[in-house]
Amino acid sequence: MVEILLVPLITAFISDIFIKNKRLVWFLFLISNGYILYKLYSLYGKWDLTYILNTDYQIFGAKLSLGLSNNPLGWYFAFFSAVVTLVIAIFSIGFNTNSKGNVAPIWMLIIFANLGIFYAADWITFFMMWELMGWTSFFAITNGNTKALDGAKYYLALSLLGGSSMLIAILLLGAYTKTFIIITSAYRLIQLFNLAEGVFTTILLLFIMAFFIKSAIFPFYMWPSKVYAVGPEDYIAFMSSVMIKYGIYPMAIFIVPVIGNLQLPKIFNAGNWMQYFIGYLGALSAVVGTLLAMFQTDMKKLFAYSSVANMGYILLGFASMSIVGFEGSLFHVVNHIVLKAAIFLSLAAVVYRTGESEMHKLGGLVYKMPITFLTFLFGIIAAAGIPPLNGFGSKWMIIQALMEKKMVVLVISMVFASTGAFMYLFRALVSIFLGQLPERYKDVKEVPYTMSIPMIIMMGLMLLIGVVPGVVMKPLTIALDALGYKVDIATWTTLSSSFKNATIDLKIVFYMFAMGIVVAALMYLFGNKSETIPQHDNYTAGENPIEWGVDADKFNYSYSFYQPFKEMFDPLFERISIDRFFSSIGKNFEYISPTIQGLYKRGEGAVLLFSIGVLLFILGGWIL
Amino acid sequence: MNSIVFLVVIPIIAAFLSLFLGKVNKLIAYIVTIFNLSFSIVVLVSGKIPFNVAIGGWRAPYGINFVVSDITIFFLLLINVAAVLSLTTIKEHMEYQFYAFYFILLAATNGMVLTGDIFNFYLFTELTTFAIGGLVAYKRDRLATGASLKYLILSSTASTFSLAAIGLIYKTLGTLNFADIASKISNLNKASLSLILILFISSMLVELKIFPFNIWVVKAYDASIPAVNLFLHGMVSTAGVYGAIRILLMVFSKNSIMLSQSSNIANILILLAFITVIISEIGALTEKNLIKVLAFSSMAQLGIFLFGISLGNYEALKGAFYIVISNYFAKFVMFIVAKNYSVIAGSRNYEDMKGLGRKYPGLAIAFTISALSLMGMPFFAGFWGKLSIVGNALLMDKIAIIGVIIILISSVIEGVYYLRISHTFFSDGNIQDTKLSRINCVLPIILAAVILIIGIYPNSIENIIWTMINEIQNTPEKYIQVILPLK
Amino acid sequence: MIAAIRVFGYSLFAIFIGLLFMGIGRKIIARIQLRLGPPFYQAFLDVGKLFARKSITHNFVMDLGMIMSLAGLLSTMLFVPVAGHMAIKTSSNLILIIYLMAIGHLGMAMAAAASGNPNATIGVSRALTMMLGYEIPFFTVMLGLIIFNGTSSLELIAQSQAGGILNWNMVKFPLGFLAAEIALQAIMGEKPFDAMVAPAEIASGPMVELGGKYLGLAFLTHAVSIFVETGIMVNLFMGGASNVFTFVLKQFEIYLITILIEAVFPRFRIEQAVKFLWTVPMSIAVVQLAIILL
Repeated sequence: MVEILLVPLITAFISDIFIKNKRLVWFLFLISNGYILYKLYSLYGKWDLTYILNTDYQIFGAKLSLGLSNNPLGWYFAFFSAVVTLVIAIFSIGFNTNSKGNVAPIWMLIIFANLGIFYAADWITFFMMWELMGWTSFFAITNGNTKALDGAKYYLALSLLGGSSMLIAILLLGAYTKTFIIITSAYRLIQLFNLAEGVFTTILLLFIMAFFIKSAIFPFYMWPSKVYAVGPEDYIAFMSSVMIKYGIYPMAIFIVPVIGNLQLPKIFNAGNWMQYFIGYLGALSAVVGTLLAMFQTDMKKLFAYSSVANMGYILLGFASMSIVGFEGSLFHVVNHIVLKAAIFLSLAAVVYRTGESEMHKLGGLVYKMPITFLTFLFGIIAAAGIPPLNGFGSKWMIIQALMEKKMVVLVISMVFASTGAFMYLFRALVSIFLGQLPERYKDVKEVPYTMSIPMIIMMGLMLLIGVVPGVVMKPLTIALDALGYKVDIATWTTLSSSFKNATIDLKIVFYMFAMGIVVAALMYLFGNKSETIPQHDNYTAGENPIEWGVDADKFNYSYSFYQPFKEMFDPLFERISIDRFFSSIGKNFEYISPTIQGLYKRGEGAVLLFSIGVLLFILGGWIL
Repeated sequence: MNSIVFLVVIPIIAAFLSLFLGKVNKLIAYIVTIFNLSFSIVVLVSGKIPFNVAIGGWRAPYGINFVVSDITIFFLLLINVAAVLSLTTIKEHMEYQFYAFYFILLAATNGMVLTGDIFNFYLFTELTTFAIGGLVAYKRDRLATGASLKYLILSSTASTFSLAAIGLIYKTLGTLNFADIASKISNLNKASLSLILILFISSMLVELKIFPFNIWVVKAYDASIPAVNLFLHGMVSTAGVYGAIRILLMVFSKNSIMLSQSSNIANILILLAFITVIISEIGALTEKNLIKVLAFSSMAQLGIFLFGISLGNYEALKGAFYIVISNYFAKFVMFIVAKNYSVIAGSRNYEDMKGLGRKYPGLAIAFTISALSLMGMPFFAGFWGKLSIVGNALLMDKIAIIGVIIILISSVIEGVYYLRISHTFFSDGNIQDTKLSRINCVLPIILAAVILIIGIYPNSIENIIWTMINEIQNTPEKYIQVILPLK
Repeated sequence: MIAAIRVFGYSLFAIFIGLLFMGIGRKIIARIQLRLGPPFYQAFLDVGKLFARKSITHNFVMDLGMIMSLAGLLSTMLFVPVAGHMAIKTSSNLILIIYLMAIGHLGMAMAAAASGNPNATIGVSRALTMMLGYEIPFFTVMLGLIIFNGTSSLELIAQSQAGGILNWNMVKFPLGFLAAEIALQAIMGEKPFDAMVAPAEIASGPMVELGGKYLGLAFLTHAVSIFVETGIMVNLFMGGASNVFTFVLKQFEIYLITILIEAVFPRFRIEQAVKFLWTVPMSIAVVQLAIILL
């Protein structure tokens, strides 16, 4: 089992040496990912595999041992992220033929950390991998690009902050429960609840803070937009799909079982305060992410906020603390991995050909890049949660679970967010691919096969999971069953909730949609012939504008697409800005910095300060 | 093993000789330093540790004695390795003043570690101070002179305190021998102990670069040549760390209990430690001069070290050792990288070093590894230190918990500025076509590899550290009885 | 095979009813406004004429979008029980219906945007904003009913109201019905919530570039959407129906209310509309939800 971690490590090392030879490095990257996927596939079902490394390092009076284990849920996360990573790896070969930097070695290191996080058996291993992922992703984002520094710095600071809070949590947990093993510590933490509630809450909140930072949940929702806009696009596809789930995995494996097993008083017969705490933060992320996504002009930022909203959905599912919601959330994890990767791959293709990521400067690309368009269309349909593509099933389950638990505010915010999702998703579609093609993109071509084939695979995946959710739900339910949850093993095409008569068959939905298409197409064919004519023929009623001494201007309505709607929210966003709050903290440190430097520069104050120090010291020694 | 005095005597002789030798000095410096190093290794492998050498046949507690225990030999090795490594960075010709001061520094730092007598310790500290003063001023420009003067003034003031403390000790306990003081310290009343401790610690904090006694640090680093940076870091700081451990934890702690229980001095030290950490990290945040950044950061690291030893917990103490080791190697790498890069870029501003990481990736990677180790990232040596210190501090009183939070926040700041520098190294830039011999990359890479090995495989050093902690735990058997066998 | 024929039959039926309603609606509006108005079968004539004409398109996305839009609404229609009957027996899940309906909107919007006319895109932008406006109160009302009945199946909700008018949700939850009615006005895109079409401002918005069979398809889409939306309302609030005839009659009642409001109101600006929808019907819906929950 340990070879699954060694392979990426060795690959990272080799590709570091041959960093100049791009073809070799990316080929190696692909092979390595293929191997990881194969290996993960062969690990399926072998849940009792473990690997323990004993060290002499002593902490809290006990020798520390680091361990890996083939945890079913970890496998679930690792496997599906490996699938998508492999597809992105194929894409990267084409994408990086003439890129400036080479992100492969550090990316491979991140994949190592990725597998380590999902396979860690104890918190120390988990933390080691977690921190490794933090700083490596800083380098992957900047990748030698000076412009990327600001965003990456923000990410790094948050990431380190999260790491610190997690370190405190882990150590407190270790000190109070006398174990670092994740599963065992969860049981003991529940027992701790009755003994030391303060410590319990502290540990839980610190953990939650670390996880929320990594998954961009509400107060920490700013970093994706800063980071995604500047990083290398293919890596960002990985980051936005896989890496943002790192906070979700420990939530699923640790926080949810712990909170779910507490006997806390319920509020309004619906849930306890911890559920509401998680749920409201999730709802806020969903709503705020949606609203902010609507008002972006940069497409990568737009989808960054969309990720925030999606993380909110997942959290809402957790907040329901019911098995349907839990399954729904974990299903949504995979759905989001797939659809976000598809969307970002198509965006990467757009950037690859046009070098532009401001949406209002694009337009009409569908005529030049049909496959990219289709991928993007599939992606946004999936992201909007419209059947028969994959985003629907999980959203449906989460909504069902919330309704069943009567968490009305949460479910309304979820619906708000997913309706709002239509707005920003469609806006992106219109601005990038529809409308009129600007003159400067007249010669844009479709991306080469190395890049279009992965996109086609992604489309296939979205449709497959959308119609046959069992490909994800079956492993998921089997994994949950192996963990001891009481679940029914899912069937191939149906999803069910615990409401009356609430089983939907996505196969039937697909058939119905297909029949709808047939009927509509028949209607279409039934009508008289149509003729394809250029845009201006219709505008000018057949006249040639040049004869009238005017130029044929191109109009696209795509800048500030939702202006009237935005004006409704402007006062709110002007008054409250979490982003400003966080950056002001950083700014304040930077303001103090020169003062302190001055202290060390000048000589006069030195002796004075020294004597003051001694005086204080003496006084302190006597008084204290 | 009476010949242990050679470690001090030979450098001093060399210091006299260096006045007349001119160009041979460099060779002599290598010979003497390597002799010191190999002699320490011989002592290490001889298997006679611990032993005590009475100078001139005067038995302790009446005469001066040199003691070699586990801690001693460890720090002796660190200091002499540092000396050798620092010497390798000297490429150009140096005048005899430099070597004279260097030999004195070598003798003094070795002496500080070896001696078993508090007054002797004081003398060696003074000697170190003067040597460093001279070395810092070696550049002979305005900045260097100013920095040197500042350092000298601060150190001399500190020495006064220290001398007063020694006087008080002699007055109250009638002895100057470490072991003797340690065995009699429980007779001392609390007020006198506090006073002595305060006076003595204030002087020691100068070497330990603790706020507010560290005003000299940044300027001294900035003004001096790279080799002196390394002396300051590798020899003086290490000797200071040794002093702190020996005197705070073994001599002035009642019944070999750790510092925190001996008095509330510990709380003040914790306070000072975390103020140091936060101030130096914030100071480094916007600093552009790479050497100054490193100076700030080394203050912060020693702050964390002080925090670790003031907690009064053996595991935290272990963490402090890890921090010392991590900082020792990491700063070495960083100063060497800074030196090489600043030579190429023609400036010490790291923003002028753009793109150098692409041309000389070995150095930049070594720098990054060191930075990550200082930040306490896993898989690097510093992580184990952070883990121990934070973990044990969390279980202490409130002030320690506040300290933990502040230290973690400052490690975030540290991460931001260090990785920004690393990023600058790796970013696109116009690289001048200067030749840097690849041989310069070897040393940093080896040291970075050591950091990595400790980080991945802590067993490699864990047992050594426990041996030292064991000595601290059992001061009476392991230290006092070595020196005063009759009692 | 039989299933396919059933689907086909249902589709034609929905289109037929929808077009019929549209025709009658125009007649009624005309009468309210003291005009004579076209005959009630005018909509059929329009569609026939449009399909017979040659038409222009700008690109394949327009074609794709129009087909997708009709297909989406037709497949939604198949999930709405018509007097308890469905083309294919399946759970008529409300959430599924809501999401499926979005396909139709998305297809329409895609076709409109692909036509390249900025007016069409403005219309789309408004339509989507409006969607966010009405979806929230409408869903809140539905949420109340779902929680009350403990099921999210439209069919079961309809069945639970069987046995006389007093069992109808319309009577049991009048506030909810009121809120849903106002939201429905926006869902159907009738005045005062027709900012997305706004012929005087943006030249019929999404429809601006459509002609010939494209406009015909848009007509059909609209017809199906009328059928679906009124069908949902009937099932939710008026207890479904025992036979198809009563079902259609009830649908017509709902449509009639909409038409009557449409005939006499001016138009909201889009942000006014959203604000209105989020305040008036939403607060009514929340009151209703609170009553159900407590």
